[in-house]
Amino acid sequence: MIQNLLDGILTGSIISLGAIGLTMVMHMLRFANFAYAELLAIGAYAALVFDRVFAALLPMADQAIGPLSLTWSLVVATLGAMVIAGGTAVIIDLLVFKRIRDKADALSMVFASFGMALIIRNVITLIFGLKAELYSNDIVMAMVLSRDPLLLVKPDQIFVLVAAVVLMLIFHIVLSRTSFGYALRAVAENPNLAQVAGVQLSRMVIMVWLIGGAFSAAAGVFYALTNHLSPLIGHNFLLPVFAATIVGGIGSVYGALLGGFIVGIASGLALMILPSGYIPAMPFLIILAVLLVRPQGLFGEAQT
Amino acid sequence: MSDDTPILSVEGLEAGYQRDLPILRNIALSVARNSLTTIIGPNGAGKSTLIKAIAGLVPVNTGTVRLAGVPITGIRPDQMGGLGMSYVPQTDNIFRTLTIRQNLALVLRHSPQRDAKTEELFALFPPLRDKQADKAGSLSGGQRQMLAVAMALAVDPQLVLMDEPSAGLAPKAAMEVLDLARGLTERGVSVLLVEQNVAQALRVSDHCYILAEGSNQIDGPAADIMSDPVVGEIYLGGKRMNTA
Amino acid sequence: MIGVISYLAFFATVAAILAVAVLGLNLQWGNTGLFNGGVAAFFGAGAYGTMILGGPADPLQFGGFELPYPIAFAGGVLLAALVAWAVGILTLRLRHDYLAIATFGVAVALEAVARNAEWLTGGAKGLRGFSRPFEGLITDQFTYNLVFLGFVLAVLIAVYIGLERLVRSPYGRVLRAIREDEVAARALGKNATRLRLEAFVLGSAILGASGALYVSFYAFVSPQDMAPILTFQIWAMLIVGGAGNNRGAVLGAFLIWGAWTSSGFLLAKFAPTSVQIYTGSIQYILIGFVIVGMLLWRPQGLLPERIERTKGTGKGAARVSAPQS
Repeated sequence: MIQNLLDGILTGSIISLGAIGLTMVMHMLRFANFAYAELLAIGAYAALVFDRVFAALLPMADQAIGPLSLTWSLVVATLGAMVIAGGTAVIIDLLVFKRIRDKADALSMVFASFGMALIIRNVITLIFGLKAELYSNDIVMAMVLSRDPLLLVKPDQIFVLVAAVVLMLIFHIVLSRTSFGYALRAVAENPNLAQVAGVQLSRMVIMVWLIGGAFSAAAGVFYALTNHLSPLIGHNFLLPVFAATIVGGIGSVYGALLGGFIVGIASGLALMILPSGYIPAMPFLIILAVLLVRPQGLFGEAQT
Repeated sequence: MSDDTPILSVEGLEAGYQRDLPILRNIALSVARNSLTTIIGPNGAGKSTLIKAIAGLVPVNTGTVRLAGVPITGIRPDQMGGLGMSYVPQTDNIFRTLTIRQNLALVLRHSPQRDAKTEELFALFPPLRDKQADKAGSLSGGQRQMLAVAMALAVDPQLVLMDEPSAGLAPKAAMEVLDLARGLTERGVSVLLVEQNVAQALRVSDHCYILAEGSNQIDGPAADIMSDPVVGEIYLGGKRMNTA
Repeated sequence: MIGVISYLAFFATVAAILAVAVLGLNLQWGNTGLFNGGVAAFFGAGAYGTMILGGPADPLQFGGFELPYPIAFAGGVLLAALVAWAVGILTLRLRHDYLAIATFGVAVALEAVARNAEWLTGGAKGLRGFSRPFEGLITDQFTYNLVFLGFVLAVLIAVYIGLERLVRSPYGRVLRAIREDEVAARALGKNATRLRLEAFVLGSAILGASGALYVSFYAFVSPQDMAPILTFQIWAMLIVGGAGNNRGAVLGAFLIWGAWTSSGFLLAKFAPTSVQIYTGSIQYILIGFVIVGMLLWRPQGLLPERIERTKGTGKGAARVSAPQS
């Protein structure tokens, strides 16, 4: 059971990173974005490309760092992937979603996001193929934390957990100590008043896409590092990330962070009672439970 | 430097949330520099809507709004500060989840002298300094109003728009906030306010406009309005000078 | 010649089956403004329900009751309606974006059940073998296919006429009123909720009927038939044809299915062998572009909704009204 718990915490940290941007986007634009989780896939694959390029240009950078399978090249590649994913999110909004919300209604954006998800996922499939990939072919031994009960943990998993928490802390500092962070919180609390206070909404929307894309890219890389790359990453994380935002309350960043861990841990523990084939349905059960008991989630505002 | 152009002038304004259903028709209004002008009128007259239309929160169909002679019709609300105008909404006029200090830091975020300005505002409103680390949601009604006005003053505006500043306040606090508004005019800031608390408002006003059913009714110096019996009739719904 | 007719009959049969589904979705979305992100779930419920009731007996399987066709068909439709009722009670009072996620989640959950509950659904390998209606009576395959097409068209026409009458009735007007005005809907209170539920259940029953027809045709059902791509295909058909418009729904079905099959055919014929495994991906990208492109260019669809108040019947007099959220 503790192994399930550990795995759940790890998955939860990845879901949390993915949910941060989604909760902000869903709150600001009133838009269930079915293409959002594809940013994780974009990030993971962009990092793959950058990694191979850097490693070719600078073979020295292709060294694994300590006991991890992570290389310096991959670290830099991840930063590049965060920029790419953030930029892609902004571009898709400007080219597609923004034009639709100006012309038609918010709900059409949801359909359009279905379409964008299909396009992104399958373009990735065409470019990279269907088979699963790994960043590094090194075999990394799992560490045995204890023999009875048997607890195994890969060094990469510890790194991912720490890195995810560091990213969350950085964001927390931005939100609690910088005026940009106050502006983000202001827009979430009261968009009209935020404008009156001098915040330009259209610029904030761009910033939210950039931040969300960057965090999602990191989440995608972290998943690929501890599992594998596959064009289905976006599809697999879509419902868990939605569930995290709903559990936490749409619009609440801290709610999304907490929600991600809750969804991850619940799915991990569910493995003890459900056959693994049913696990994709877990996030749905969580969503249903939240909507029945407390629809606004942990920290969200009551429904209008 | 004496300048006769009004700090704010509105002409022929037609505005409303939906294009084919205007709330305001053919509004004309002007605010002289360093003066306090009040808009009063029965419920549903469109007073709040007028202020919001000036601030850019309600779409304008036709007409012009000029700030110190410069046309600002249909601006985006976030452009107000740069033009020298501020708006204090009636409700939800501070960010509850941010502290006092954070609220001020937000409005001052593009200001080069953020710390100096914050000090100035604390000097003007000492109770805010004492509670600066408290979340704005935990303040009393009067303190929140104070913070809202402080936020409006942070951008060094020439004109402050206020929507029912005394609403929900105990009589003493209401008087204080209206006196505060009066005090602004002595520091070179003009004020346009909407009020339901007619007697209190007229006490501190220079000029007064009466609105009913979306259009101008009468206007004049506050003292004259206070003693004009027509005012009572407009309020009771009997008399209308302009029918929309 | 017979080959061409046979192929066209095959195409028209599937297109007509999908058109029934689009009509069901149109009732939910076009008329009542309900966002059903889990179309595949109700389609699948109809398909599996019919198969379980009417399929051949199998000692390892629950089901295979070999019931007469009309009962199996009705059973599938009823199952879809029941699932919709349960889902609707729990989710319909939610805001649109929540409803989209919740219904999408239902489809994912049901697909997981279909894939894993081997004793009930045959698991990943699905259920096969089904005695199709009239099969015993007609021995010639070619003639049978035409008769079956006739049967499907009859169902399509019946559903179409039924929905057209519903739309023009006072009941239909109330549904549209709820769609247009969220506030009015809330003012109606409990009534609006019940009306939404009725529209949702009826629409899902029609989706189930489409699934029942599908399994009748292919005599096979598997979890693949409940995959999200089906939901996207049906949505694309409705978006292209015109939401809020039954004729648009049918038109969209034939157009999109035509595009899907011809793109599949062209890719199979002309694409190099190394790319063949990716034809699915290419088709998905194409349908993604169709959805996005249509929403950017003409969100109201090819045949916009016509409110019958408009005097005159020419298409030029049509008043465009995109569903509001």
